[in-house]
Amino acid sequence: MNTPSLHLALRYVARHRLQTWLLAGALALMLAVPLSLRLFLRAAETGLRARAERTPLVLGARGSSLDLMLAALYFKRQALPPLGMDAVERLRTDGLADAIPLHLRFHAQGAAIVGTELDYFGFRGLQFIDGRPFARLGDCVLGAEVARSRGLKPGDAVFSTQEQVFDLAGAYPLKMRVTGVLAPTGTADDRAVVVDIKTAWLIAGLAHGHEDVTGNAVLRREADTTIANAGVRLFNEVTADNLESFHFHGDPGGFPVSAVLVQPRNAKAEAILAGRFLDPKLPAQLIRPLDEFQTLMATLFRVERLAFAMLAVVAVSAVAVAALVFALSFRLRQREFRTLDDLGVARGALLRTRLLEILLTSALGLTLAGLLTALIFWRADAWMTLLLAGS
Amino acid sequence: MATLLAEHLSFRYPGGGFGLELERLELQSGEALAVLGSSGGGKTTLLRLLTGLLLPEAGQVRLNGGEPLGSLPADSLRALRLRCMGLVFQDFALLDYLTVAENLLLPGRFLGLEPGAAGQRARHLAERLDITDHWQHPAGRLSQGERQRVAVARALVHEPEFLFADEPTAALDPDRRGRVIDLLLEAGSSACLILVTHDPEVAARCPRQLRMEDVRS
Repeated sequence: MNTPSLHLALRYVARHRLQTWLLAGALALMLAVPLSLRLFLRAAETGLRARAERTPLVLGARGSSLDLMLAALYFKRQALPPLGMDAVERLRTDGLADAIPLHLRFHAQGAAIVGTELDYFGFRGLQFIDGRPFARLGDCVLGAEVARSRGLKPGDAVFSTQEQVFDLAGAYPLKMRVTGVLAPTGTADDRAVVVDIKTAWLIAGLAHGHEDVTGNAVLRREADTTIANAGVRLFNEVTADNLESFHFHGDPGGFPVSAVLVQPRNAKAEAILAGRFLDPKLPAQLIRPLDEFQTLMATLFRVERLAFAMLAVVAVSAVAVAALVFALSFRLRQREFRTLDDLGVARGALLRTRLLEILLTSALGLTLAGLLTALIFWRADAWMTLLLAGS
Repeated sequence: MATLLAEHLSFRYPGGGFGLELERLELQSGEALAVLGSSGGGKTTLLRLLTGLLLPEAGQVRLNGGEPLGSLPADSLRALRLRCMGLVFQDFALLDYLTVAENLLLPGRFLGLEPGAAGQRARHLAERLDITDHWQHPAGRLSQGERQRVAVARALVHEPEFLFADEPTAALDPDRRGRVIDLLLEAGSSACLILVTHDPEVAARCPRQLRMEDVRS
């Protein structure tokens, strides 16, 4: 390596930082974008496929099977048409499969509220790093990321987000007691607030707790129902003192469920269940998440190929522009190179100086591209989960 | 002892305009020659012919009795310039993104001089020319006078046998002009010094003078 040439090239690059960073940045993006896209998709596929593989079947209302899969597995913000809770009971009664209901309508501080049952923790292999599972109505368990980003711990409280601010007759936000925090898993569970499905129904207004309805507050009494006026205070938090006052109205079999995680007992049971929901006229559908996931990835890979083709054109343009920038820069600096030539610096050394400037800028670009790609690779799972969870 | 010999030099720019003819010029170490003439009179052209930056149509320039500059391979001629010549260009020809120190040490770097000794000499020259305050400043930020002094110092750092200075005092005030001439003449005591100027006072400091009117054709 010719040290004076390197010295000159380093000094020039250091002195013209803006030009160098712009060129290096363009080069970095040109390299990092396609590389990151590929790594992102591959890493995300690996992480997300595992969750799809561990979820044999999902039952939901008929509609988009992709939306059902994305909502049930990755808690995508998607209004799913509800099933009745009796669909879950039927699955259980048949004895063909274990069924875990999911209620996915509400959010708390931006995180999905997943109404489910205690079996969900075992099904997903979720461990607690702090606290314990929910034990009563109004309790919640936080995913690791929710707890970390909001600085919450067992004993703290989380409010459900009111769906419609202007609906004065709607249910008020529920103040939920945090009973535990889950260990990080790198999945959608990290960004969820897990509650008992009855708590989800409570948020939906299907249950409520209130002060004793007596005296003037009673408008009318009908069989087992009492109609009270608006002066009766509803509780927006479940406590030991008011727990007994909470009660449901209506038929629990008709209470809404967004999806059901179905674990067939065996292959035969799986085949029977699959056959049972084949009829497209049925209001429910049974999907195999892995199939849906593969369809999704196939689409993404087709998009990736298209993106590559476009990026290749952009890359060629970027290289051409970079070459032009260098050529113009060297042309503008003709006097400088002529000075070096006049002083007696060898032509080889002058050529090396130019090449080293290009190499140094390219090396900076490669380093930036590497860092960017590494960052994307590192966060691919989490970002893909966020992407899928976005509405 | 360094010698410069130019004989039967003939040069004319393409198009048949300006030209010069120099029958003979001989210079030895310790001799200083002032080349005088009005602007556009061909002083710089003569200097470029003597340094090999321009090649004559006829005649030859020899340094230390060696091969004529015109017959040397381009790489050898460059190496000879880098090693043996100190050049002060009319437009200073500094690298603006380098500091004063880096500009001064530039020829030495390419020559492979020992950095310590070259650095000391560069410092000494900077002190003599009153530019030490700008030692770490980029050359691009200097005034014309400061740039000219840096250009003079750069030509002297590697102690060349032949010194060619093209209007080395044009941008200087009288006091600094005197200091630069003192320094050049001092360096010229052990080298051949050819100094191009249109300033009669500067030319008067040199024992020998050449008027361009005598060599124009």
